[in-house]
Amino acid sequence: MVLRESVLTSILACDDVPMIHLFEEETASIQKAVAELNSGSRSNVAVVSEPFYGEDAVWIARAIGPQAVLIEGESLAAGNSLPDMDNAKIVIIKGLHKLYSRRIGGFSPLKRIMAAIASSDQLFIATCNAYSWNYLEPTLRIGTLFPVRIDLPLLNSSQLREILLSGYKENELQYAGAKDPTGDTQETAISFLGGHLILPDFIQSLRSALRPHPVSKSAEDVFFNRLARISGGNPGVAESLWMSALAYPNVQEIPELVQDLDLDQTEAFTMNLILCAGRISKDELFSALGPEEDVLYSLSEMRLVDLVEGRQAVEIRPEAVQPVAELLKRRRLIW
Amino acid sequence: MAGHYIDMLIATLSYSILFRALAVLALAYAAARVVTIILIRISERSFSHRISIRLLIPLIKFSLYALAFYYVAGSLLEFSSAELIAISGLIGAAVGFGIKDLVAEVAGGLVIVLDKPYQVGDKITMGGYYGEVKDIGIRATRLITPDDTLVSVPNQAALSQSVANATAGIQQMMVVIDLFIDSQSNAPKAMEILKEAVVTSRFVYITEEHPVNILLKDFPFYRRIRAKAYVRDLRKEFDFESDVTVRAWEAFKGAGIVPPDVAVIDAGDAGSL
Repeated sequence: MVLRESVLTSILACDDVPMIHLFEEETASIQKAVAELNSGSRSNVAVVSEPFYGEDAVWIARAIGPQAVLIEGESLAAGNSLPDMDNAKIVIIKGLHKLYSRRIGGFSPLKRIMAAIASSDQLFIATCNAYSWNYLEPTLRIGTLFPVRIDLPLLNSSQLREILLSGYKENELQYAGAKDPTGDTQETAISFLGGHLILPDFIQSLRSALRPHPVSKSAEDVFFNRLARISGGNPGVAESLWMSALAYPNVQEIPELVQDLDLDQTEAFTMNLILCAGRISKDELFSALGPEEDVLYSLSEMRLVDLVEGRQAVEIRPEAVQPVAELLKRRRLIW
Repeated sequence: MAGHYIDMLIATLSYSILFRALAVLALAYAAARVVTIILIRISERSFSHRISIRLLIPLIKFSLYALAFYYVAGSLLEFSSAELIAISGLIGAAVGFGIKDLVAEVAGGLVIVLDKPYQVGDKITMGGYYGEVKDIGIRATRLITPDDTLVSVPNQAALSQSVANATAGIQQMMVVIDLFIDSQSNAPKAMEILKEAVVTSRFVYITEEHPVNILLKDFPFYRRIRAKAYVRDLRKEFDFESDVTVRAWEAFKGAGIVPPDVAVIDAGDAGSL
């Protein structure tokens, strides 16, 4: 069995497979914007999603058809200009967050493209990292140029199962772990002030009694519930975890990879920069942060980031997206 | 008459009752310390509810001490109505003669806790001092000033003076950052650089309700560029200001923007614009 490199991408890119119903509402919004353009009214669209969500630009291009031109945000940041009206009525900009960096003078490429969009008659559909968008909206008022905002939904365990098992037959895979008659493993200890507090027996009994009537769950159910919880419903993260757990025909248990996260000021801000970009070059990171080589070492030791592209770029690990985002939201570094 | 009542009070006390009274008060003190430590640790872990959790600390301390005094007066000493009247008389005399200030401070503490002109975690100006409220005690409010000095301001100051509260129970606060440039320098460019220095700071908090404003004011021989922005954690007020100032001036140098030649005599009214 050949592993598919990206299940989500292959499903969405395959012409023979009908568009999965998960994005019907979002597709309808885009098609409505296209129809309004044809009748003379323009409403640019921003498609906002979490890091590692998946190939959102692909299904947008499919939804619109050949009249759209897809352009990478990175190429615009490098100085390329937008295609003109003669060549494309509709322009899809993939990765708008690649057009800025968080330093003085770092907004120039984005401001240049915003000026071009404002003076154009074309319809622009831009995909963007959700955390970057939430930062750019009050900072540069980018929302005024893109009045239609589509937030790609976070998926539940059933939806993730539908995507990830689309190429497999029933019972084809064997899941590790015994059948759990009560669902997820009941907690016998809780975190308290940096340690663990063991729950007394009577409290555990009380919790069991107050739970809904237990429904017998298969190992597959338990696996996908856990996957949905750890990934936070992000299909790209879920897919990455799935790929690491899958040793065909067996599916291993997914470990809790990031626990009790605690970052100092510099580490938290560094993760903020990386989370908003997904992947960022070291040069760009240090231009925003200052010379802080040590911080990458400590973040790498905590298994939050990987050094990629010959150790010249930093990427957040998919399983770290959810816990890091939660921590940064509590610290109000992202919103 | 007063001597008669004092004799009654002394007759009531025995060593065991005195010891138990002291034990109860010591227990109340220990409990207050333990609760304070636990709540402080919980507040640091729960960043977004930090101030709300800390607000509980003076409330719980007051309650514990009040319970302890009630127990000592009511259950241990078992004063009769006559004895209570005697005690009240003694207290009245003491207040009148010597400890009226102490009573005023305790009363001020109760008013602060109930009326909340400020809370633990707020940045206030009171009694001539500016700092973060660390603790609201029975007698005094303790502030940590920007130079890390612990100042105890008597609670009665909150009753008799104005209190300026910069944060009023919320995490973020507005910070005003002033930079001065030469009149010949490119002011619009300086404003653009300052704005970018603010919005790219690691300490800034920007939302629709908390925007960044950049203002320009002309003075003889120089211009003032003022940034008004919110810091995400009020404890980082000065780190925010330093971070923006350092990075803005680095960028000013590259853009040929220079500080004024003459010394600034009047920096302008901080309360205006």
